[in-house]
Amino acid sequence: MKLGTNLRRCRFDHDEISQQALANAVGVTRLTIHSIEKGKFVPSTLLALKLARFFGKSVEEIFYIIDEE
Amino acid sequence: MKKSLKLSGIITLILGFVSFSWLIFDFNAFEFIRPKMINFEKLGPVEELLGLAIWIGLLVSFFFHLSAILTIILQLRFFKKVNTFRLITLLVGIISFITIIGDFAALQDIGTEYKFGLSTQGEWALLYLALIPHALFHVLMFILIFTTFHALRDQYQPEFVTKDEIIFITAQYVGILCGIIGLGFTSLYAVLQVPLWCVKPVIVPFSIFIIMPYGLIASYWLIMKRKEKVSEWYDEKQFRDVTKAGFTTLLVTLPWMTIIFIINYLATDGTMSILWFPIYLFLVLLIFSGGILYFSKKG
Repeated sequence: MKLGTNLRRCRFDHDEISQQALANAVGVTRLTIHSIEKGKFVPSTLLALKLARFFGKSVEEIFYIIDEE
Repeated sequence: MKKSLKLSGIITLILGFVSFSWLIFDFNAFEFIRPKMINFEKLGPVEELLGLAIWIGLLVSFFFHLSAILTIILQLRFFKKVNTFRLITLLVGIISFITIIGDFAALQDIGTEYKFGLSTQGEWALLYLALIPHALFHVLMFILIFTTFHALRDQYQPEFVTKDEIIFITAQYVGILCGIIGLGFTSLYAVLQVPLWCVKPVIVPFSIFIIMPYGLIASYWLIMKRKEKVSEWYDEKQFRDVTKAGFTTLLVTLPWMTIIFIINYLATDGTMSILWFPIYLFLVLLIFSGGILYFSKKG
């Protein structure tokens, strides 16, 4: 199982907010946001909740599970 | 921040001009003294005075390098970008800085070996070779300072950043460079089996000098973090990268240190009884910094 994300789309829908601005809002580095978007880093529950709160969405709307065969 | 950036730029520029002029002077002084020393001619008061001036020049160069490295670190923090040119300048600066101790050692050797009637050709070659990174760093630094002043005049507004990653990443590049130079230097002593009496007086000052640039940037990072709680020093990905790099360092250094222990155990000469620590130190620095950089780029 892998973690999928709509974070890039959420940023796009949110006035195309930059990775840095989002990173500042949730208290992480730009590189962390970049890695989450690329699916290379799985955020903690706390960070996932912070991101969801920032976009006014539920965690499931931003993150989802990719079932691998 | 802009004020301190301007001030450090001006100080570095002044020191740089003095140091660069001294570099040109050094080249001419070398050209004047070298033939006489190689042919073991008697040195007069003029040569003695030139020798003294060269030593003072090295001191000026030392302060210029410290000021320049600090200026680059301040710039990195201000501009919030790992600009390739700035990074190359910093890395050339570190090589040039470490070369200063080579200059000191070569000059000392020349003085001693001349007294004992030994050949000093190799040391002179090193001195001439060291002029290349010194001159290159001066030129790169001048370009960097002038472009920075230009950017500051254009009312450049850097992006606001709450969690730093620039100094963190740059520190790893510096760590890798210091680690490679230190490891190369200490390994050379081990491979060439330089006698203990020769290693003992130089290993501590050389190691301190080599690790100084990393110490500078790490201290600056700590100063930046002094108001934060330790748990807030890194964000969660940085913390994961540091943890992974720490574990990798443990895995890599253990077999290496076992080999060094065996060499030390079997050796009749005691050189490794001193060299094991700097080798360990630089190996840890190299693997740890390299590991963090790899894991942070890998994602």
